[in-house]
Amino acid sequence: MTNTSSGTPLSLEIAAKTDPGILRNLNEDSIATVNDLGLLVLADGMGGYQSGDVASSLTTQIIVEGLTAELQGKPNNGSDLAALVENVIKKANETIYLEGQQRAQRVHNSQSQAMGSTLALLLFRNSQATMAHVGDSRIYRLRDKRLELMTHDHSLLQEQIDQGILNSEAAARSHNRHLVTRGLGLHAEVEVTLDECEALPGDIYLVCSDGLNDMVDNADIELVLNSLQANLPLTASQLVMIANDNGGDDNISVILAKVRPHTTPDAKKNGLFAWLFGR
Amino acid sequence: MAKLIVSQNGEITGNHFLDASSFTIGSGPDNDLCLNVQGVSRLHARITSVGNDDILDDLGSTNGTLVNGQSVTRHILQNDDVIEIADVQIRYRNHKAIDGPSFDRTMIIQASAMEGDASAQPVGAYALATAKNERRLRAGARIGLVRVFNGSPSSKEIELSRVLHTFGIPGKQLAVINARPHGYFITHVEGKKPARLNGKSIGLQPQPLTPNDVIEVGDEKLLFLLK
Repeated sequence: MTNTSSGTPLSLEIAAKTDPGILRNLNEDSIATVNDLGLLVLADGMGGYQSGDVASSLTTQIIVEGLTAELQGKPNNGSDLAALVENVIKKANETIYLEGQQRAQRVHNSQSQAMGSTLALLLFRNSQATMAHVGDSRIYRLRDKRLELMTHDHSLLQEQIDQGILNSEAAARSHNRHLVTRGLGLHAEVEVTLDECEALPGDIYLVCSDGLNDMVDNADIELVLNSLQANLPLTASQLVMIANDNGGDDNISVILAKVRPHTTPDAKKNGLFAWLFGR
Repeated sequence: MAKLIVSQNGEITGNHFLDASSFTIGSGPDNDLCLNVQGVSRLHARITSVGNDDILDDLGSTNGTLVNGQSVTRHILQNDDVIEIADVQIRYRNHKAIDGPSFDRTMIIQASAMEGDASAQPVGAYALATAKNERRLRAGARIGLVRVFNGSPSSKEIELSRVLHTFGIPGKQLAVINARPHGYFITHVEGKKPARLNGKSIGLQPQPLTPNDVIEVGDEKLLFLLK
């Protein structure tokens, strides 16, 4: 939280793709990116009466609006970014929770089915990446050609692994995949996991829903990022393609962000997608 | 709810439902399933129910516990598994456990009571993805192969066994060949000019490959073949 390194100004290239997958006809994932803010948001909705897609799109919408209001036109907002992000997420949780309560009343269902959403968020500012997540959506980072998982799933399966009940090999036979222990909109309060790291030139960040990491193993994700990073939109679409080739059992969403020094001629030429941060 | 069907010498001797979080099996009278049979330990095995999973543990029994003929210490029960303890057979039936790991809609569950301090450990979900990946590769009939001609008399061959292989020169002209369930495809990655396939530019869309196709990329000429 005390990372004040301002180093070289960096620029960011972003590519994203979302796909319903092979088995489902409804896409309950929602993604949003704001280049000017260096903001990536991904939400994977859940709930009955087709309310999952409502929950996930509310999540991305409220968070983008909230952070835009806080950060737009304030490049050097010195306040604690993690605290700011957490506040906006907690407000989004309240709104979705209230909306869910109202919907449950409208449906006249006594056993009101909850609606909720996972969240994975990345905010790049002042050479710093702020990460937040709730549920089993993930953030990975490719640095020095190595893929690293930056988040820790809030899921029953992960809890079983942490407690030593299951090893990761046995987990492949579990029926507890997709059982998340935290979500936005499920309760009046939500616990958010926050983390920060310094963004370095060459880093590639991947935000994804479980439809990707359940279908494509880490070694193949790493291979795709290392091989195709020169073409970021192609990298995103190939990750989705491989998940579908492996079965496409769930909705698949990916957001990629590549960090580069903003002084490269490439970045200057391609001013459309290269925005600056750390100035 | 999961059900256990107990049989001995081919005759069904009982049915039990796993309706509590723990179910014990042994020769002692206080077990949920009491097996007064030779070779069964007093406290022989336990089934713990967590979420959609029923996990079988051998409790250090003298003669061990088998599942589908294999000795186990801990096992996540799958529909139609047969547990063997001494000469007693216990069939596990659970519609939720049909066809391997579930891909039900994401559901919300209460965090388990014994949360404690969850230390950061490598996440295990990629074991499943690996299994999926292997299934996909097994389905593919013939493996693709690329023979590289680079001027020298010795040509080298590259087997296209990975999900993708790139060819060419990074920054100048790069193309990717994907191994997909329905065949091999080449796609432009970077460079002003896309690679050429049988003398024609591959353009920006993926192009299917057929045996004896000639690819020109970077400063190399490649021949695509099926093994």
